Amino acid sequence: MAKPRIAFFDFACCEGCQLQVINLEAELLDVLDHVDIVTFREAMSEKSDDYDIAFIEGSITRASDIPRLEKIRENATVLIALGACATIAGVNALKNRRTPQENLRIVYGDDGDKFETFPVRPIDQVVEVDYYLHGCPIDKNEFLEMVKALLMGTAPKQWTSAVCVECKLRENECVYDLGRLCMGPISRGGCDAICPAYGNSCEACRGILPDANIPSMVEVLKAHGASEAEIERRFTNFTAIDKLVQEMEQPQ
Amino acid sequence: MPASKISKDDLKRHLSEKLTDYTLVGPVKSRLAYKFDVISNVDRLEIEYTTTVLPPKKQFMPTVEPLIRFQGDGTAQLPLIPTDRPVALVALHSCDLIATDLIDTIFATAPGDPYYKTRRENAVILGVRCMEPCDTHAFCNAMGTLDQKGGADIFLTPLDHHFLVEPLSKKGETFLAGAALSHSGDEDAQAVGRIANERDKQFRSQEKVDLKALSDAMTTSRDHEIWDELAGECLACGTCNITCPTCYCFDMCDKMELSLVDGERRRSWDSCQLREFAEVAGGENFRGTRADRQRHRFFRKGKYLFDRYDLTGCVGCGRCVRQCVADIDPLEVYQRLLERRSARV
Ligand code: SF4
Ligand code: SF4
Ligand code: SF4
Ligand code: SF4
Ligand code: SF4
Repeated sequence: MAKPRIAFFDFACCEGCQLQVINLEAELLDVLDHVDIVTFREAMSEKSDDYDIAFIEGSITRASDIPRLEKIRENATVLIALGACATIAGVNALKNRRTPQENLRIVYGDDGDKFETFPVRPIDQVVEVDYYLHGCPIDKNEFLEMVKALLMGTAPKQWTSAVCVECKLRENECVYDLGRLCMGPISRGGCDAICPAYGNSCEACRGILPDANIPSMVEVLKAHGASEAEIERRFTNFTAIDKLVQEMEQPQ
Repeated sequence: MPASKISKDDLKRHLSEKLTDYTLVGPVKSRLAYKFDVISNVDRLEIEYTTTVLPPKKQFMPTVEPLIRFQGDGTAQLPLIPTDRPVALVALHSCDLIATDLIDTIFATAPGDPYYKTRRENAVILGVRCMEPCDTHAFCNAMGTLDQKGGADIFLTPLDHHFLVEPLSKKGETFLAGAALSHSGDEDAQAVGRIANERDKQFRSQEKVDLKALSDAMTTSRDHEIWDELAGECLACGTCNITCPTCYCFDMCDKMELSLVDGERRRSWDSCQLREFAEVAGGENFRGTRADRQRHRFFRKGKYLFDRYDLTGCVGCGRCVRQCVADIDPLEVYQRLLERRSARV
């Protein structure tokens, strides 16, 4: 059987997630026993349009991104969103607080009209996504587990539990007890609660869980002394789009 | 009442000597909270402590545990659980002793779970009496677990400079051999009685929960409005189950190596408050709402185990309410359910 062909593509992002893949180092060589990597700008100069599995990094930020992404979707059998920019639009969505015109003016000044931009969106608002690798950045071991599952033809694990689960399994002291705020109770896990494990707040970089109890989370933040502005900031750091989508979908 | 005592220093010395033959596990302090950990220097051990983040059951049922290793050639091995050194699990509070009994009933009674049983049988347990409420959340007194000795092999009662010492099994006697025990007279027993009296008044609720009535109340509370109220507050974060000493649900998954044919089957602690817990192939979810899941959690505590084993799945340790950011309090839930029942009759 021919080895599956893998390609990596990036849209608006810092390419830190691709770097996580390269950071696999030793394991990456073993992965190459099973797959051929045919396009991977951060690691090699060859390119190909003939691939089975496409990893997409980055957010969609301008009209010309759309046909490019649609073309990749057409070529790929399996398409995976790689990292927060692609899965939930991540920090890029901060830009949506202003109009595209304002953003162009702030960033490029008088040259603004030479550039193209529109409100940021995660890739699943443009094409169908088969699997998600969440996180800012992704966890390289989770990437490896995803590749193994795809090679074996089993369903890759898609996290649906909150960060608190892994946090408590590590027996961390809750950062609320240290006087900090935390989005962990409604945030998608899979990161092994790395931020709370070092005494930091979870900022929900893996997104808000579907069905999250957002009104109660707001109450919890308030009860722990957060102002309206602080709550807004916590909800829009990485997850502005998640929150919007969920509020539209929630019945109450 | 016990007839022996040991000075606090002598107990420390004895535990220190036991390090040669036993692996010592007990509470240690991290930044703010206590955790059970392996002790190599008894100076780190905190026999008088407030409730730990995770319950001591992790000693017998690790949070993540390999069940079997398998290879592509069809061979497989069970993991080796070392038993060459016995474990001394030190300073379990009464609530945790009763919770250990409960899990023993499920996991160590025939046919039992071999992984759990192997670790459990390899352990000697030293219990310790609580001389004050461990925190403002505890309600062991209401659940009837306070001062209980459960399956402890030795039970200690701390006084100012001494521990009263009760060996409760052969294992316990063996562990105590050579300890500098001395006779404890009536005045010690009286002192314990006095302190306990004062202690009892400090718990947040003085009223006992009638466990039989609770189970009956639950039977008629399927449609109680409380489940929707709890669903409004609950964040489905899973903390309450993960920190509960009587929860034992687990998830299983295979962790494959890059060969794609060799690997390991693992189990890890799970929580019925998570959305995926009761989801089955095809996407059907038997407890798709937070209200369903909260009801399940409390029915399991107050009714299901009671119906089947005459046991209550809540020992009142307060870990869940202590660590739930939405402050969901089982004692309040029990009281609400019992209230309606008494209003009816
Ligand atoms: S620190 Fe955050 S993630 Fe951890 S238990 Fe507390 S709220 Fe949950
Ligand atoms: S700890 Fe509290 S918020 Fe989290 S699942 Fe349990 S009851 Fe719900
Ligand atoms: S339900 Fe809560 S109070 Fe009861 S035993 Fe479990 S953690 Fe302790
Ligand atoms: S069903 Fe829920 S309450 Fe019951 S043991 Fe499992 S996790 Fe705990
Ligand atoms: S809940 Fe009761 S028995 Fe358990 S540690 Fe606290 S005071 Fe002791």
